[in-house]
Amino acid sequence: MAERQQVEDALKYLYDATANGQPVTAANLASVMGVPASRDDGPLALLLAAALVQEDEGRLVLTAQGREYALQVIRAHRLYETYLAHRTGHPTNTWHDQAHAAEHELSRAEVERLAISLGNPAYDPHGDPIPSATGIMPPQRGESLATRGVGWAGRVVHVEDEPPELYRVLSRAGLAPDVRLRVDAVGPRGVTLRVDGESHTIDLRAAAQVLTDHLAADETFDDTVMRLCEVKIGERAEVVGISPLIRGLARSRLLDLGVVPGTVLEIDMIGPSGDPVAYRIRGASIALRREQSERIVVRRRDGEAA
Amino acid sequence: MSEPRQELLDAAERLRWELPQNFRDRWVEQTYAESARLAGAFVHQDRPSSRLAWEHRLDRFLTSRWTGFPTMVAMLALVLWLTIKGANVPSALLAKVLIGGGQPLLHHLADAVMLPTWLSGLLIDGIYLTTAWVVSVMLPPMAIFFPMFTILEDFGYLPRVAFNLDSLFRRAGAHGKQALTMTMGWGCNAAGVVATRVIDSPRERLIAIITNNFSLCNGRWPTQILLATVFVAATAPPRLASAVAVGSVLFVALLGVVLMFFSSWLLSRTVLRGEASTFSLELPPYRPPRIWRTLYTSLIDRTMITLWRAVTFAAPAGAVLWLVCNIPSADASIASYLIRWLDPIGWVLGLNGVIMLAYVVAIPANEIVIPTILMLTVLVTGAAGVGEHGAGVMFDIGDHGTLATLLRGAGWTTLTAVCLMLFSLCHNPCSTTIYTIYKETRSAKWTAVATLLPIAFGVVICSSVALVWRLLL
Repeated sequence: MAERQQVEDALKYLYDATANGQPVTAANLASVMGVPASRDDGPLALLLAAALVQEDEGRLVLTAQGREYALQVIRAHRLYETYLAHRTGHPTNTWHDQAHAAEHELSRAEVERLAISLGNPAYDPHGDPIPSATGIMPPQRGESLATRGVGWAGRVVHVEDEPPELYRVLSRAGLAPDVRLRVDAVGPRGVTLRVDGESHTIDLRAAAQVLTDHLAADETFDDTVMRLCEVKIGERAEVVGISPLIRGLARSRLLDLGVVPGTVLEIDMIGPSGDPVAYRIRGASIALRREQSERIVVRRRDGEAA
Repeated sequence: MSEPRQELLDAAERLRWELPQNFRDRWVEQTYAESARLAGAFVHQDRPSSRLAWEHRLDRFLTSRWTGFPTMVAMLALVLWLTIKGANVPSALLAKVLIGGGQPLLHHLADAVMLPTWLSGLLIDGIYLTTAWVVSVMLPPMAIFFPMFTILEDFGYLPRVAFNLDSLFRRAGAHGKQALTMTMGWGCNAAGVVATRVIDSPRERLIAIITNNFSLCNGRWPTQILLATVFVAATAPPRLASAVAVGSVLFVALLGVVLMFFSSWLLSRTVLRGEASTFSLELPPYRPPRIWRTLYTSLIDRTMITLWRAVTFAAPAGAVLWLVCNIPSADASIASYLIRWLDPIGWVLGLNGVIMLAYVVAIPANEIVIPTILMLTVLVTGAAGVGEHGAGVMFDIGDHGTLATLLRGAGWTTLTAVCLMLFSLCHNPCSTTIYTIYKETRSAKWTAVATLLPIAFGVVICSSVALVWRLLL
């Protein structure tokens, strides 16, 4: 097991380095992996013997076979993170480590079964493309949020989950793949963003962890939206959408209840401690917790009495 | 592969990367939005969707901070009082018919057909008596508690209780509806476990199932009341005795609630962290309860099913119980050996070997724990003049004075009673409940957790109490 993990981690490292156009020597690899730089023993010996890696003028190069293998490991990792996001309740900050363990344990048949049960997803929950079973890895779309100017509006396509402290900042600001945002200010304190009716300021280091893309031709950035938890008694609101941060079972439950774009709702009653709040949704009274109502995006319907 | 087919597959592979990342979510959302639009356009609703004024007023009354909580406590007290008081009469009647009448009758019949003594003992004093016992103590409270509960549910009150208490349960990582399954557990844990079906989130449902045993069930209330009256109240001055007895029973019940919250919190942050979780709570409109229908369904669905399961477990346990007490091995029954062997374990927990053995053989139903303890005590001490049918047969004593003399004679102290009250709260669920947990979760793992977690709590609590007690007193 330990051997398989070392070989696969070495392959992933070589794949990433190749993708970034950065040459790797046997000594580089050994120091990153924390093993002696030996060609007779350890992971490098196994890689060379299995013809997954070739040595070309002192540089390590993945063979076609090695590249294919590396993509399968990445595929397992990203599929497993998708599984954790959609089918389980594990907190976001544990996904990476769990997927890292699973990628070395799952057999290829298990990975394919997982892909089918998840509906062959194309992207993982961080917005990374999942290589196909045939070994096709599409290029990552989007540009860094840090390069966008004031007034630019678009959508998030990728949020890097490492290092954890920056990822926490981004999660707090509600940034996840597919969230729409607008850059309101860029200053020494960082980037001020408008996200679902709220403003957040994140520093440039965190902004560099986010890749963004333009809105589709038929989309515009809507600044009149707010969150359901801000709706007051007597006001009516129309659902615009559910934040991508609500996933899997929790998301389908809300859809089942009729929280879909266009549904009009209002507060029915507020619990003794202020949470949960019961909303009238399509003729029924449904109590939702704050953690849900702050992730439902709505638009106030003016001029309509409750 | 043919050429056009391959081309098509290649095109699909290329195009899938051009779909939006959340294509699936948007697709589902559009399907829902479209069906909602169609329903809105073509379905005509007679009843106005807004609620009536009196419903709003009632909702405000039942869910307000100042009126909602007192109403809740009053309702609960009323239901429990009616159950405990109301069940006494039919219970006594059933015991009279099934045990007082049925057992001698069966013995006569057995004598008439000249059944060997060991066989009639096994069948009548073992299997029949235990089953009759379980039926007569279990049936009446359940037949009163469950219909009342169902009527409150039907009227629409219980969802408001869940709504009021949700913020408390949310902090423990649980669902507000667990307030209902917990209350149901005060009637019967097996029924409480079945009731967790109303919780539609996998993680919160498992939490409710595993922690349901911390609700003192109706098989354990009598044990608590008996021990509190006979032992705990005796330590207080006479004019305070009954207040002390009631207070100590309530203390144990509340300790159960505290342990339920604590273990819910623990479970949601450890072993159950990975289970998927969601929340929604529908507050249905009020409607007049359908009394007859409620009586019928609660009797059939809840009472009879639970009772049937209890009986199927009680019958074989009755056989085992009779056998351990009546099979002689060398100079004593198997029971005497087991009791001697279990004594040191019992001592650590502030209990004794008789109580430990009673908990092992009385696993089918908590109702038979006290009768079993009495039977085993008589068997060990050889006390004469108690028990109508001789050694090795279950019996109950109405008179508290005789009971106290018998138990104190067998070495019981106030510590024994206190530890037994605590152990009665924190031990494995009865076999009916364990089987129900397995049927509901379909998982040996969660069934084992639900079975062992309360014992672990019980061992820690009882042994600490015993240790501190022995050091200080």
